[in-house]
Amino acid sequence: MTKKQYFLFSLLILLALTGFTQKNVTLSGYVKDAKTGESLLGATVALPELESGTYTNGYGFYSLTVRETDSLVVIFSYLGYADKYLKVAMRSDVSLDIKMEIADVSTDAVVITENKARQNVEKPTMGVIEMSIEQVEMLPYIGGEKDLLKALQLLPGVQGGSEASANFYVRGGQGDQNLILLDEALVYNPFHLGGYMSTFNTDGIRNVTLYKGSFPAQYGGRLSSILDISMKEGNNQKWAAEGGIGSVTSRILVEGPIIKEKMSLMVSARRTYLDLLIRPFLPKGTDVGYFFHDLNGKWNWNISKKDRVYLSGYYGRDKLYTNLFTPTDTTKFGVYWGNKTMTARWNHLYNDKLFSNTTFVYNDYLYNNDFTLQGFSIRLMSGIKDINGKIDFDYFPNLRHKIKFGANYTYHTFTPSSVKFKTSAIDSLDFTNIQQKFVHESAVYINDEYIFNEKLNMNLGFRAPFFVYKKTQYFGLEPRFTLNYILDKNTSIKGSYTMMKQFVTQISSSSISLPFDLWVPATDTVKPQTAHQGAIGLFKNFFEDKYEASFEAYYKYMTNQVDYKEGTNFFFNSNYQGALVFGNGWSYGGEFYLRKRSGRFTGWLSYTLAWSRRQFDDLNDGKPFAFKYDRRHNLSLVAIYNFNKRWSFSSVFVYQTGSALTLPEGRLFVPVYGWTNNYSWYNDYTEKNGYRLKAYNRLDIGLRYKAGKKLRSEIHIDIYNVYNRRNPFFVYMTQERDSRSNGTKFVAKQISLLPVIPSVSYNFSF
Amino acid sequence: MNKNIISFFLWMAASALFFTACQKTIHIDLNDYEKKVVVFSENASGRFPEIYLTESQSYYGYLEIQNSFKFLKDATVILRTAGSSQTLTPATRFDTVPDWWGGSGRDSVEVYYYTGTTPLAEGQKYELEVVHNNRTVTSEMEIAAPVQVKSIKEETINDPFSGQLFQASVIFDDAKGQKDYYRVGVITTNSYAQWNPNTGQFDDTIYFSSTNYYMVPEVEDGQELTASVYNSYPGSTDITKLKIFIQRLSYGLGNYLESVNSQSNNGSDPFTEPTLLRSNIQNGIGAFGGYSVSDTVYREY
Repeated sequence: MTKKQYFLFSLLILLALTGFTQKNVTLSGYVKDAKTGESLLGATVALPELESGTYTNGYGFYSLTVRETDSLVVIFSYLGYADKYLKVAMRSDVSLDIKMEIADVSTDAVVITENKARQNVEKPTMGVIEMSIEQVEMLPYIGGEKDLLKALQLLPGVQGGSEASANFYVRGGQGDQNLILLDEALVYNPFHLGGYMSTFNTDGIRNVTLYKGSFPAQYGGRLSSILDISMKEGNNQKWAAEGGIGSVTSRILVEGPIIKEKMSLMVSARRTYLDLLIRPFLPKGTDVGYFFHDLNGKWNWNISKKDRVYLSGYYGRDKLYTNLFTPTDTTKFGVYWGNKTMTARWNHLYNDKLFSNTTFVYNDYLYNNDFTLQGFSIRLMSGIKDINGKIDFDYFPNLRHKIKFGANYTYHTFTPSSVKFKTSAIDSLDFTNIQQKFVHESAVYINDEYIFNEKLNMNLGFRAPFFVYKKTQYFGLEPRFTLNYILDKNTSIKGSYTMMKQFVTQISSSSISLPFDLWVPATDTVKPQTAHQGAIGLFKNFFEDKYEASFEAYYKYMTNQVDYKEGTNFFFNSNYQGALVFGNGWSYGGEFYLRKRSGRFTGWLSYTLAWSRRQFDDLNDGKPFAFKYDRRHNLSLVAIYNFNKRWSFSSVFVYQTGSALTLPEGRLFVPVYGWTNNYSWYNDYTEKNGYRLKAYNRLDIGLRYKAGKKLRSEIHIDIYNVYNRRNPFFVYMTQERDSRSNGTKFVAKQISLLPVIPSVSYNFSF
Repeated sequence: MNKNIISFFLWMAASALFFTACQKTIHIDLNDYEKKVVVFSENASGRFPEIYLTESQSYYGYLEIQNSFKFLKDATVILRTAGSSQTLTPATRFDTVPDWWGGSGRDSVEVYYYTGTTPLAEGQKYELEVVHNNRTVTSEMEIAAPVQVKSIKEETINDPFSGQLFQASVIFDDAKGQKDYYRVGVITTNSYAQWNPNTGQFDDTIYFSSTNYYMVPEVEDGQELTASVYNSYPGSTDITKLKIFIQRLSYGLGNYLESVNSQSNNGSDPFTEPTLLRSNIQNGIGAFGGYSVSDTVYREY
């Protein structure tokens, strides 16, 4: 620990202790949705007379400690809900649970409440975006499907990879530098269909928060972003169901109280059905298809005022298969992969100031490839399995402090590619060649959100991760710091610095997310990645908080970045460590965000101007080069218009600078192996990633019609890529012969994937 | 063929058609390519310099196969070392190279190069300057001292695909304190070839020979290395004589040859990261380098 880090740590402890000396009374409780009983995360609890307040934690709990007084006005507010004003006598500690009603979103009535709206200005956080599932559902569907990760790509600083891919890249980082959590369980492969759909069925999701910087200390293990997704708890007031029929998948969700207001259950499922539809048309003896399915479930039990338990899980599978049956033999080929997660949580309230959450998580990602022919079968498998335990405390000593601290431990089991054979002569050969890697990863952290005065507040945190793999040990101390200075009621400036370490790396085979992309732990060779990120920003709300605007500038420096050696084959490389090279990366840019949050017309404009570079001694002759997903300009324009309670229209326009790639530009005829009796053609390439594909742009539109009261129906008519832009997907080289000159030449050809795609989908709920 | 298998392939073809219906090929625009002077110069210590000059062409132009051996004949080539300089003079010779149309025959072509009258020496720094059509390209290199060979091991390897192979392994210590490339090679020939022990070479009347090289990847820590090279087993055909050698390459040459070999092995594979040629020629492309040769071993079977 350096002197500076000791000083910051001591400052944090000192600030925390100042709160213990005051004698006060506490108002605490939970904020919930009146209709479903679900906890509301991040709801604002404001004390206008004291010009102070707080917001609910990840389980809807809040706590405010104030000086004793006869009465205190408290305002509860939450995005999309009507404000709740209360006058509370504060002569002693008060426990107060609040149920909030959803506001009418189809009129000009105030939907965005004032206090919630100001969190972007008042909170000491930067680069944090909360996206409601309602927002995702209002956007045009792509091929009849709504997708959370694709919706995130419309936000500043976030961009997609190849066309239609759900994979996302944040502030110039790699795809594997995003920590994706579903009810605190890590999802290693959040994609279906080779990356074209995410594994998250939005029906079962309650809340989504994306952190691009200014990371709170409870999060760690990835360099570029944290995507924290919470599943619905389940309606504890009445049984309800919702579902939908799309062109690719159909979905169903059922939720309801097992014991009203005490115990509830939510189950959602989704499946593709192309395989079922084509099966009757397949030739006899042939069974070919692809499908995926997801199953989300959550059960929670409100045992008492002080204790609550949750059990949630996710099970998703993709399967691609080909079976040929003849009278004498069977040939089978199958690839299947998927995630399993299980999270058990226990919330405990020690007193009205101290809240804890204890979590156990099991998650398992597995990839299998089976082939059977004439009595011989072979199975290839790889995967990663984690067992994780953690405890987090929220401590609210007074109005100035909001302290979070805790510890976690993860036991990883990495299984790189392993093979199993079975023949008619040998019944079974186990995975004898499995070289599993067992890794311990743990961390402790402390984080304090401290209010100096009504103008100045800050978030200060430290995280200390510890990693052990065999004799390799890595320890780190990651300071996190955000300072917020409020210029006036609607304006603030912020600055932040965060350090992150990453101990696992995905050895990715290509730009698309393939299921057999391996996750590997840090070793003596593959060292932990580190990122230092600094950012400054201006945040402003306009016109009574109906508009929100922000500008953030950031610089991120990343060490121990991983790439493939030149000349490495992606697919047939068993010695992955020998195929890797290591270097550094840096990215910087500015992100502009303007959003209209209320009224008939809502939407946002997001523009990012960014640079992302890499430098590897062993690549590009040691010279810096553009990162594959370096995009100078990234613009998203989202517009949603509610005509009335039944009809609404939405559109999305996206523009991005083209992807960077390496292309041959010249050719030369030189000796092979330096032997002047043997010559061959060689390519003179552009510098690495020195060529830009054409810019990507498209327009999507959608029309939504809602009907019914008890059985509510919703019809979506959407058009993806309205003007049929042939956006680049990839480029390949081919030889063409000119019939007139009889000469041959190489040409570069560009493949475009998705043309204009109209779709109709139907959703229902009751 | 089984009817079901035919049906299966028909179904797969229909599926492929369905998915490729979403594709469209578009010619992409690239800027005009500016031709570069290509230098290839691989010089052995104790021998006269040889500089081969050609010109690169656009990747997307019509292949000038017939003109691929279009050497630059009107260049000015200057080699400088230790304060002195010599202007190299053009020379020609005829080489047998693979026929231009990809067949198995061999053509005889006139090879044009620039050479001098002073042999190159180990430990000397050389600077090259080439001027052609108002383009000036430069480079520099130094030939390091040869490594000390500890031993040479000759073994028979049974390869499941190629059958019995001859493997020669050279064991030596890497020179400490700098990055080095090495190349171990074996030349096999028949009984007609005459070995000259004074030059360590087969004579010019060699009727048939085959050369295999193995590039030792870049190393820098002075470790003991074993470099192996394979060849057809001596005596199995008419191969009866062979020469084993190890070369220590100047860094720029080794770096370039490594990239050339990587392109040779993987160039047409779409799933392979492209290898950029690692040139040490400023304003041009190619390599100017040299090597020193350690103990040459001659064997006769």
